[in-house]
Amino acid sequence: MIKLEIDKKEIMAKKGETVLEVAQRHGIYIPTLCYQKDLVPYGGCRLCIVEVKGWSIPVASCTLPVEDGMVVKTDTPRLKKLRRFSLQLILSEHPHACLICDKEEECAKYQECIEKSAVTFGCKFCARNGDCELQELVEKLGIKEIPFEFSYRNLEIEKFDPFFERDYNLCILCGRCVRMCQEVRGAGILDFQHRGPETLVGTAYNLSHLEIGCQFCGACVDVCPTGALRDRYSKWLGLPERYVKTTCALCNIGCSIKINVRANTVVSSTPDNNQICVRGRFGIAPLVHHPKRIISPMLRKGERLVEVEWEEAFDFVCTKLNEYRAKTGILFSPQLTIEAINSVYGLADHLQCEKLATTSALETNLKPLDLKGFRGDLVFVIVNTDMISDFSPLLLKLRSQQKIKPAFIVIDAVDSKLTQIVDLWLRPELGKEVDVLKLLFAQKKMKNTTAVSTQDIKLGKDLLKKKNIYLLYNPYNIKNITVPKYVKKIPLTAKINALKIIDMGVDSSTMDLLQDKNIDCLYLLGTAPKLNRKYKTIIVQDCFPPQVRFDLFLPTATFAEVNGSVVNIEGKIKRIRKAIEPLGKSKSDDWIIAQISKRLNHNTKNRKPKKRKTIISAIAKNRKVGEKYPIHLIVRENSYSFRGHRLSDLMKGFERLRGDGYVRVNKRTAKKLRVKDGAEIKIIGRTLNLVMPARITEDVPENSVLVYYHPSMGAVNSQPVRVECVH
Amino acid sequence: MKFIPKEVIKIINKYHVKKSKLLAVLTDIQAKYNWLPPDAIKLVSEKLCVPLIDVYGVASFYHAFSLTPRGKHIVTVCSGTACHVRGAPIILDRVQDQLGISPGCTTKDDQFTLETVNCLGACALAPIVVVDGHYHGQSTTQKIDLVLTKYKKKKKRKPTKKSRKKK
Repeated sequence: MIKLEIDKKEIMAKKGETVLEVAQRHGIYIPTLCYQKDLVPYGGCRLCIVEVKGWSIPVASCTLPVEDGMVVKTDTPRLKKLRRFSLQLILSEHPHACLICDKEEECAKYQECIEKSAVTFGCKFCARNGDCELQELVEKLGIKEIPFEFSYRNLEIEKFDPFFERDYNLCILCGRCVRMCQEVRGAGILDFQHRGPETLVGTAYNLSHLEIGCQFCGACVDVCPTGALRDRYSKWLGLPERYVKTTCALCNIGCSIKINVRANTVVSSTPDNNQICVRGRFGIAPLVHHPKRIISPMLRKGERLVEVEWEEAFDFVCTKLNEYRAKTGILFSPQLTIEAINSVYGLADHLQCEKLATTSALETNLKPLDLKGFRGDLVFVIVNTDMISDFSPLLLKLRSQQKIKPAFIVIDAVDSKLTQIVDLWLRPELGKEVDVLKLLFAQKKMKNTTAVSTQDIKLGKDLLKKKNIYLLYNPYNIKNITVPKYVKKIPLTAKINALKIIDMGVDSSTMDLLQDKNIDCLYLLGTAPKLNRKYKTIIVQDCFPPQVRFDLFLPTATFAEVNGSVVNIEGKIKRIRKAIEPLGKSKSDDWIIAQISKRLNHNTKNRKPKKRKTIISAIAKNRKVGEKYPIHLIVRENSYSFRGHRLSDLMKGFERLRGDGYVRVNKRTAKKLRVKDGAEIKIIGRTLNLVMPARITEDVPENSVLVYYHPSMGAVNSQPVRVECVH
Repeated sequence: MKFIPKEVIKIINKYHVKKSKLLAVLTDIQAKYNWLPPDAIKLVSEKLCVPLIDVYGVASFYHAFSLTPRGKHIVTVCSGTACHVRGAPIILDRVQDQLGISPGCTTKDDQFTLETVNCLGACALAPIVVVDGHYHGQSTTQKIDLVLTKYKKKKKRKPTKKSRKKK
């Protein structure tokens, strides 16, 4: 322990801490601008300067380690003067007309501006007005004038990327976004360019973030102290009044998030002292207030859909369910709360329905992921899973598990953002991933038929030597994995509550349920698959209109509007808290099902639902590419969906980032088949027939096309296909 | 000069594909092509496993690197205080007239790039002009004309030498 004195207060500190950290912990205010918790101190802004007894000049406290017997002063007239000078210098490059305006208070009240400062220079027209660290500092340091000439960079505002905009005219070069992008996210998208007065933050060659491969995690936006980086959706929604700590239910990781609310409107969702991904950061607010959302019950009367009251809707449901009883098939999305899933099982028990299925990718040996269980030197072998797109917060946790950086090996025929940053990427021929694994773990020499060079296999073997090996894979993307016993298998599925559903069991797979001829009534909870035949009644309980023809629509609330819990990949139960009241007439899933059960005279209380035996349908045979079907279709699990709706169908930003509604075609193959970018193509297989627009990339290997699975495609699995142009 | 990936890979291998040798690699590429072609930067980033932006950041930071194509001969006119007083603006004007370009530009035939520098630290020789590392001190407009014509002639001579050898 180290004893030091800050502002005449005796303070104990640990070795290695900085003066700033110690002062902040003890509630001593030191102004900062470039300092950010979790980032390596930078010492750029010089606002956190302090005086140390015996030292002739003030020093930046963020980079000053504590020493025994140090006497520190944080608030002297000399420091105040210097800080003011530093901030004035910073402000000479940041539009400051409103910051030093003496009529600022009246301006807020009456929107008057005698100075008539240009729109681009005024705080009142900045999206971060009121939430800006510069404004705060100007007030705290009492700056009334800027004695320097104002230099405006006059750069174009970068609006061409989805999710956030960048106005580098407002940038003060604190470097928080740069350090966040490089140190914490390990993405390496942003950095300083040029030097001296021309220094700017930006991407290489000023390419757009989409082109350069940004994940759009939004970490840079959250740390920006000014309005230089701003969230596009929440830009003009005003400042949030309160926030609610809850869990993001869009994928299986279940990150803790804060939902920022202003008057029953979700303004934005931000990380809660952790790292989240694009779905949690930019996907939730537009999803909740999506214009396509249906917020009142709809009943089909004749050919027309009519808005009805809940009573009428419940009457319809109860008569139909009473009529069909066991002939009802229930298909539910895993993205419900645990309470809702329990009540669905309860309802199924009451109806004696034995046709309960879910749209989650099921793997019976799914176990909770123990993040604290990793020991020693680690190697992660990742097979056919794009950890950056699907599980980026998990990847960051894995990276920071141990002091020694773990090694990552990727085995994937498809290129992704992940392959660029890992230690070794083995790109086998399609369908030969399992063979590469065999080669990696083989004791004796084996014949190599995988298109991976023997040199690379040797490199991989070297990386694996004397280390604890973990195999990460998505059971949806790769089947029949066999590895030696000392390799620990960790299956990762994208849908939340997978562990809960495995525990409860389901009666059949989605496809088997839809092929069952005994079902007359279909009850779809948050999912709309492609239907193969007609049903007498279809009841849909969802947020967005389904693609199937339905008889009754029960509007449900999203996870931002309900209380409940979910089980994440670690097997932890995470709370979901109500951020806003459900929109319109929509209600939570468990309330709706409880009301139905009540009307069916079924007591839901104190009754544990029956466990079901999970039957997973046989895996389709791995067929080889032939003359009739010359192209390989790769199917990957779509982790960018909410209740069976693709996020890219709902939000333009996700369409540009992911484009899940497109089929990815290899560039050379597209040239051969004369497929144009964006043109619709037909994919014909033995049992499937899809029409989708094409997107040409070099990520997929030659002679192959890739689609992200969606229930509306019907039964789709990796198989040889034929591709034809529609026109 | 055309960018050839093999040459760049050779340079990278010379430094044992080490991240820490990024600056040395870039310097060699710069020496080879007189500028850093985008494809070369991309290749360096891929081979050294350094994010593209990091390489670009380094390349744009140092004045010794150029991100735009530069000519075969680099003419640097000092515009420091001493040179300025002794007539650097007149010299610069003359060079501009002679080459037909303004500072920071390259002639159409990719032969000359004109640059200005704030001080070379050789104020006793003011006004000073540097062509390809050769210092021409106490220069006058006449001297500059002579120097530039010499370099212009050099360009013409070269092919004749080669053609003679062939004969």
